[in-house]
Amino acid sequence: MQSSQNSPRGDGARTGDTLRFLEDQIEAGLDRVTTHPVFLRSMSILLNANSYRKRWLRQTLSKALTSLELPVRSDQERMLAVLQELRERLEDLESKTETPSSLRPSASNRSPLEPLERIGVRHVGP
Amino acid sequence: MLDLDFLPTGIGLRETWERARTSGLVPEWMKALEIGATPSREVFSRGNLRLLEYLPQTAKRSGVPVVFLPSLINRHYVLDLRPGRSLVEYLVMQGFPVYMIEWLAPRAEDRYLTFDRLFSARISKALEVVASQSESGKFHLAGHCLGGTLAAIEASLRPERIQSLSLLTTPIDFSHAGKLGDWTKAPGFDVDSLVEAYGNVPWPLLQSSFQLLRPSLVIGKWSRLMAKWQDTDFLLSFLGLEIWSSDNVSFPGLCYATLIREFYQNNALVSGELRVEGRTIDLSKFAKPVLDVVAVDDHIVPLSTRWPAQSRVARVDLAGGHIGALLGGRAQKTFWPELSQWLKSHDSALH
Repeated sequence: MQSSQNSPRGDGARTGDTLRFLEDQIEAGLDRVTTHPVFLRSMSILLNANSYRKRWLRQTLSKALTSLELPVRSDQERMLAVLQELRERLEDLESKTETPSSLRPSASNRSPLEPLERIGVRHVGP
Repeated sequence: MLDLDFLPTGIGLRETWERARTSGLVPEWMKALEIGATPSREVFSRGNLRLLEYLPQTAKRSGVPVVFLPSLINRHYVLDLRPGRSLVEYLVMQGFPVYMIEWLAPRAEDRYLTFDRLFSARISKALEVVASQSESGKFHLAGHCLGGTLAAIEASLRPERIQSLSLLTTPIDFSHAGKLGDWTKAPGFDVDSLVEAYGNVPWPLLQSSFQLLRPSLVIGKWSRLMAKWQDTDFLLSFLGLEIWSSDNVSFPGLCYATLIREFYQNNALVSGELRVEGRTIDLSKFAKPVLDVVAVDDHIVPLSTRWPAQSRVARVDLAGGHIGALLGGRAQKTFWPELSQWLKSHDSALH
C-alpha cells in the first residue's frame, strides 16, 4: 500500500476522497429513509391531505361565487382551454387550405383573434 | 403548507440573469456567462411550445436537420449552456441545421392539455414545420431525458419523417425506475387528487423531489466548487448549471397524471399498452436507427430504464451523471464528435 506521504496525489485529492466517502455514507443512510414504507406512507398522507385541503377550499369558494352568479376560476380555465383547442384546430385548417406552413408567420406574432377574424367573426369590445 | 399558487408556473431565471449581466449588476468575470447564446429565431409557437431554429454559423449548411426535444419541465438551454460548452453550438458548427423545441411555462388552461393533444396539436405540428424545411422531408429527432420518451412516442406515431432517433439519458423501460419509480408506486400516492388540487403541477414540488433523490450531491457539488474556485471556466459552467437547474417550469396537469399512471405505475410504453391519438405505441415496430445514450451514474434516469436491447439500437454508455456525462468536458471531447459522426452516417436517404 502506498503511504500518504509518498502519494503523488495532493491534499485536494485526499479531501475529495474524504468528502466522497462522507457523501456515500450520507446517501446510504438517506436511501434507507426515503425508500422506507413508513416514510413513503407518511409523505403520501401529507400530500393527499394538502391536496384535499386545497380542493375543499376551492370548491367552497366556487360554491359561494356561483351562488352570487359570479364566474369562477375553474370555469374560466375550462373555457380558455376549449378556446385554445379551437384556435389550434382553426390554425391547422388554415394551414391546410392556405399557404404552406413554412411560409406562414409564427403563431405567436399573430393576434389571438386573427384566425377567427378570417372566418368572419368580429371582435367586439375594447 | 405547500401552497404554491402564488408562484408563477415558470420564473425565467435565464432572462433575469441576462438582465443582470447586461445592466452591470454582476462582477466583471461573470459577464462572460452568456446562457443559451447560440443565435436562433422562432419559427413556430403554440401554447407552451416554441420551436427555435439556430442560425447557420458555417458557409455550408447541409445534411438532415437535427431537432432536440427536451424534457417538459426543463428549460432547453442546458443543451446550449454557454459558448464553447454548448452541444447545440457544436452541431451548428458541424454544419447541421439544428432546431430546438422549447417548453414555456404552462398557462392555467394548459392543465387540461391531454397527452393526445400534446402530440397531435403541439409536438407533431412543430415537427411538421421542420419537415417542411428539410430537403428530404425528414429529420433526426434527439430527445433529452423525458423529452426522449416523448421523442420515442412521436417517432413511433409518425416514423415516415424520422431519419434517426437519438435518446439522451432517456427513460423508456419504467419497470425499475429507481427512487422516482418507488415513490410514484407508493401506496396512497393519488396523482389525480394532486392534479385536481394544483392544476399544473408546480415546479417547486417537482424540483424538491429531484433534490430528494440524492441530497448528498450537494456536498460533492460544493466541495468541487471549493477545490476549483480559481478556475473561471469551471465557475462559469457551474453558475450556468445552477441557474438552469433552478429554472424549471410547471408540468401540465393532465399530462403529468398520464406520465405517472401510464409510465411510472403501469410501464405501458414497454408493455405495448400505451395508446396515444387512438393508436397503440409499439416501439418494437420502430425500424429506424436508434442511438441510446445512458449515463452510468445517473440517479434520475437509472441504467435499468434504457431502451430494451435490440439489434438496430446503438448503445453508448457514458461515465458520469445525468447532465455531466452528456455535457461535461469529457463528453465534449469524445461523445459530441461521436454523436455528430453517428448522425452524419445516418444522413443517407437510404434509411
